[in-house]
Amino acid sequence: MSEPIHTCEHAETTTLLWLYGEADEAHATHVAGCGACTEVARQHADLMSEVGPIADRLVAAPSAEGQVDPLPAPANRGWWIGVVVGLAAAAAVLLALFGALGMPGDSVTSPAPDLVVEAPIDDAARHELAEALLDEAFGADVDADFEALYDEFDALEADLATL
Amino acid sequence: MLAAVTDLERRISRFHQELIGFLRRRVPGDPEEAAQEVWLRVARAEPDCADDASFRAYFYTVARRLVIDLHRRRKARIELLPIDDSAAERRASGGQAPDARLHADAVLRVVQTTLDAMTPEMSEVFRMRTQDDIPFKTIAARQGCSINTALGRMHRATKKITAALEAEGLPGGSA
Repeated sequence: MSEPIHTCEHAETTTLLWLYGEADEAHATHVAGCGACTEVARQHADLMSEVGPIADRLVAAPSAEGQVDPLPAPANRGWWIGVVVGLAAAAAVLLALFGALGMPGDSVTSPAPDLVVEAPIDDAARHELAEALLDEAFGADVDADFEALYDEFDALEADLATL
Repeated sequence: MLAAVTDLERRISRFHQELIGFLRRRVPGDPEEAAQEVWLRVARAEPDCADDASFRAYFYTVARRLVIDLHRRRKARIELLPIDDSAAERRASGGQAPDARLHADAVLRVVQTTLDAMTPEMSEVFRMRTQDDIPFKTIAARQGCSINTALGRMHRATKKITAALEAEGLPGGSA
């Protein structure tokens, strides 16, 4: 699926509300004339036409029941520090990785100084190793952490007073 | 005024069958009824469409919104079935033809798997909106987040499920 370029501020806000009957009907005029919003409307309508008939048969995962932790309200600046520290830690891991692996085409050396493997390492292998180290450092739930960051950014957009 | 009505009638006549084809694969029930609802909404809105191309974009926008409306209201709809020998079989299969049932089962499997793999917050937004028809404002209040966050979760959930369906060769309903 090709990703649309969302250049419209309404694409994931007012247009979504309108699609689900929660915004002014007049918003249809904007959607009809906006490529980004039209694409959002297409995605949601097409999916609903598939999911609608089976929606009643969906069951909640047992792990989701009663375990939804609401995101902490960004009431002060403190949470930014956590984000910055997390990103700095990730950068440190990547720097350590590239420091160990060297630049592309260099030899790979093991932690043990008396064991040197003279072999080039390509970018694909380097990327795989970086991902493995990230998973090990931050747990397999890196995607969830990034989703949480997306949510925080969305909250920031909605309320600049949280800064 | 008369010219505007005539122009609308001409455009509806021109695009009616195209709209029927679009709705046939996307709405529950009679696509003709859904098409009439689209034209009614278009007529009420009186859009200022300079040409047929912009009119076409407008009625497709209205049609997509109607698709979502009809599926949201699906649970509240009472469906009348004719009393004949096939009624019992139809009820057993959920009112669907066998191949449609197979397709629905495949979609269910993919959607369920994708929802289970999402973060709980994201899957919860999707379920509350599509299964329970809960407004986004209420969903945001329940999750303790802003409405924009809830909307973002819904849109990302939609993209993930759409990608999963396409990966399984189940795009369905796409224009």
